[in-house]
Amino acid sequence: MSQAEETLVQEIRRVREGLLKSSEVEAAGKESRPAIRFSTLRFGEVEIAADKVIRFPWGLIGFGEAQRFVMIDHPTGGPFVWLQAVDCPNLAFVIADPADFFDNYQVPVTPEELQSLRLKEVKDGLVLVVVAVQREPRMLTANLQGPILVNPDERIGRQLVLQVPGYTTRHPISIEKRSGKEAGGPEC
Amino acid sequence: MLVLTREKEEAIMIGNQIEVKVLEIKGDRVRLGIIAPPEVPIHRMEVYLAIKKANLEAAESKSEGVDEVVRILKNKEK
Repeated sequence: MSQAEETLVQEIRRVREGLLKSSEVEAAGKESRPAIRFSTLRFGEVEIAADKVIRFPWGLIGFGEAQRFVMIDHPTGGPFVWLQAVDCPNLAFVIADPADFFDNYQVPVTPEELQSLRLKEVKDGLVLVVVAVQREPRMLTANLQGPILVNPDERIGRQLVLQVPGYTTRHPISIEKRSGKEAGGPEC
Repeated sequence: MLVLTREKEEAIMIGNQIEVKVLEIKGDRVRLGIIAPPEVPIHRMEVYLAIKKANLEAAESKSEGVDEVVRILKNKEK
């Protein structure tokens, strides 16, 4: 694991553990590193080190205009992280590490996709899934067909489109009876 | 919409870098070959639309909804 990747993994972990409180986000911005400040619907005014920004040159599918994102912890902790658009205050996605919910989730990536993210191999990248949280009825689904692949060294990301049988855009995550991980569809 | 008629083995250019070629025509099915720079995303339309729809739904996720889920998960761990 490269150092940058380790840093990003730690960042996700720290973010997930809820340790990166907004005060720390503020503190990070006050270091000598250049910081950016922007407003968000869900988290208010956010100040964060500029090098924490992850660029999505193609946006997320259907949201091409938002190309800069940062990861923000969910305030009450848990396995979820928000991917907040820097330039669109309202736009944020809940993302998660698929390994937390699905065993053996495989992401086949084309050489062109790897090249576009300047990755040599998939394992050099970080795979994340977008989670949709619906309240009534309460339903949690993960988009296994459109995972996000991030190059942690370059901090550049892209949403992929997979053609894998059994991977759907709305794969249910059961939270009511979560004793260990679940199988993620017939193939995973 | 621009409409062009092409035969098998004929192609079109989109800009200077994207070539779309008709490789095979069999009944209702057409096989296309596409040459494009690696950074250009190419998707089957129905899959693209499905992911776009899923993203639109996911973007509606509310902090309160995640709060509830996190509360349930934490109770399970106890």
